[in-house]
Amino acid sequence: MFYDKDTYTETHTKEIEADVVIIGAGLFGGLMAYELSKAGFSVAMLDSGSVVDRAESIRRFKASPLKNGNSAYKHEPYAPIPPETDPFEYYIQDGEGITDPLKRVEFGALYLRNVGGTSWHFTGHAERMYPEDFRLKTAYGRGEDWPISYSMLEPYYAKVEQEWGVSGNDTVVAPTKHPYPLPYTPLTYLDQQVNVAAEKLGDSIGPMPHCRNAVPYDGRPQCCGNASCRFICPVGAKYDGSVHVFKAVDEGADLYSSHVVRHIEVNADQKIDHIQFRNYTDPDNPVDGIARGKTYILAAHGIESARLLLMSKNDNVPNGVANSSDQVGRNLMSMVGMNMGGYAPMPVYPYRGPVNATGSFWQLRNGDFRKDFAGIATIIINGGFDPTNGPLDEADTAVDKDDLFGPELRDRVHTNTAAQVYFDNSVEVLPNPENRVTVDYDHLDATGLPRPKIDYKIDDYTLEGVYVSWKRGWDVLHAMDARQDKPNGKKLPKPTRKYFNELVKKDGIKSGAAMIAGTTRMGLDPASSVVDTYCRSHDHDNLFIVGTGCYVTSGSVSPSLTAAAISVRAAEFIANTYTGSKG
Amino acid sequence: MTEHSRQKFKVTRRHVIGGLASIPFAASFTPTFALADAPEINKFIYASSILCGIKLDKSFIALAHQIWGALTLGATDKEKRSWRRMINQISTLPANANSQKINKALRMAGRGAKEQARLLAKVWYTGRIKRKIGPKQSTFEVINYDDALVWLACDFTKPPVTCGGHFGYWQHPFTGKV
Repeated sequence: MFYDKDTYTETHTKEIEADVVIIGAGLFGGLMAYELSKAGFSVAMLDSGSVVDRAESIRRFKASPLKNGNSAYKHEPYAPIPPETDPFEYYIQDGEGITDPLKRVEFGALYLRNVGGTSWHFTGHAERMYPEDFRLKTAYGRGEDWPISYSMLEPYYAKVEQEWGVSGNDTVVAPTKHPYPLPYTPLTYLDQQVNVAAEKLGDSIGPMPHCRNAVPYDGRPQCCGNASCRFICPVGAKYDGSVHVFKAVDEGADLYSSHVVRHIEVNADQKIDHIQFRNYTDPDNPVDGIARGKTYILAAHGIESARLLLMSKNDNVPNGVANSSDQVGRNLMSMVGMNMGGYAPMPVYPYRGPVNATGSFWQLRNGDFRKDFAGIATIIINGGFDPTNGPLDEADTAVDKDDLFGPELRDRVHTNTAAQVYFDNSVEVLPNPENRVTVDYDHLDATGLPRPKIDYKIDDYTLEGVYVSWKRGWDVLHAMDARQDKPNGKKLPKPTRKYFNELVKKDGIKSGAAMIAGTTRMGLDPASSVVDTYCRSHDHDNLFIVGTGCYVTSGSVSPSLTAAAISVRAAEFIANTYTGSKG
Repeated sequence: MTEHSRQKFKVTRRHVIGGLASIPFAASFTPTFALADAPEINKFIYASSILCGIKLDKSFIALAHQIWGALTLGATDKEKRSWRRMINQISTLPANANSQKINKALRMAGRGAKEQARLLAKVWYTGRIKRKIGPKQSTFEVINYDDALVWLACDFTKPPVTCGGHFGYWQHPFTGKV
């Protein structure tokens, strides 16, 4: 199902009214809008960004020299995002140059602000969290327990898997065996070669559950291996949040794009009275307006949701909205890791099939080891050293460093590119109230709003997980007899603790994952959490705050499916608790 | 699939990609010089074929103009003459010249010829060229991503954002058949 600006129009007004006002028309806002529209509620979705034009985005992507996560999408000055070239043009983070990860980790998590949200460039891995992720303290004595369990979420996982069209079977890397709506997505040839080495070390590679169509589904085509879906899927085979945004529109919901919500107004009864937005449809002539609803849903992702809550102060909420506990913005979590790669002795043919990955290591995702170190999700990147520019970089190296021309140049580019093996490690982080988002009034964005300030570091538990995952990656590359460089066969480094410590001391550890969680955490106690088990604010009973921000712990798997399941559960609660005006 | 038919397939796929994409961003590299001011374009394409080790036929003429324009953007007449000298020298080589023979010809082409040849090969292979944007900063400008020669050299894949084949093709080793 595709919409573009030629077939979709919005009617704008300075005063919006609906039963439910949703801030953020992304992965979770769209799903909730769809569910609530079907249940008879009038719904208005406001998003700070614009509707994505897929063809225009593809052109932008190809013209970008970097071709990274945010490259395909408009960067609007009125809806700023951390640029991939330098996230600190938007984020503020003190302590530049500190490499000790126990004191500071550079925070580089990217996200988008547009209709469909960050899901436009998410991995498309539709993974369930492990049951133990929800009771980490009880199971392993680490972190905290969630107030909800895997079994409570299970029916909602299944529902979202249907909505997204998740592919899988009994062999996929997942906590449980259960039916999937679509057939599984097979491992690449590269995955299979890595598996041979992994099995020598007692590990193995399994296929992952995906929300990219293994067969045509829900009006969207089958995946044909464009090998760009980590950045943009050109055919819409990969699910993204805009699908349910426009399904909601079909059900009668209203969408207001380029509407930046600048303030949430709380009245003396501690209810949300209205929200204030600025409509940037004509960026040179923005128009202010307000939106009123009976119920409000904030679904603007982990950074922007916290930012909006914190800057929406008035006499009734002097610490910001939903923040009587002082927990808004705290317990920020974004997975960390150190990646590694090498050249296999034989062609393994990367750069084919879905990127990021089709295969994942089975081991170290969950188990008793989590008493000692963090959980780890290691995937095999189908796009080699760089999914978009890797082969180009091989050509530059062959010419500049190896002085090659003619057939030798052609053969070197082919041989080296065909042998690239690269692993990506995502390591669990535990909640820490000192890891937080605040708003920095000394640094304003182009519209005069405070930019997000980040404090971020990891603890020994996560650092040990980074080391174990780093060592495992190198061990598997050694088992493949991989090399640092192809023509000279220079051996890979030995993954010793000493070498690891030297690398960390030199370069630190970076957070570059798209996961941004924990800033509006879920809990039973209003003194130590922001929302209840249905994502309703403890402070304001007509405000729901959804998305990965409600996470209590991070786990190590791709986060989106769990947040979607929680959002659908919250929508069901709203539908069962309130009555929509549409009957 | 024979080598000949594989080459034929590549050209066909390149044409299909180009036709589907019709990417206008390369328009900024449309050469502003008169053709008479450029080296004879067929000679430029032949020299590029030798340096890159990939046979470039006449379907590459438009791209060749773009690349020549990118290479000589802002170049003085003296620098253009130097480029032509290098291209003329390489054009004397047989089509299958190896790296050793190419390097020998470049030494005979005079000072700077090697760096020019390197730049030419890289731009053809990558479809991008490095530009200075400050005293110590530079960035790549993209000329044409889909037609970068790396995608012909790496015949087991294709430019991203291009359909690779039937669902699941990636589970099999590359055999030359897509």
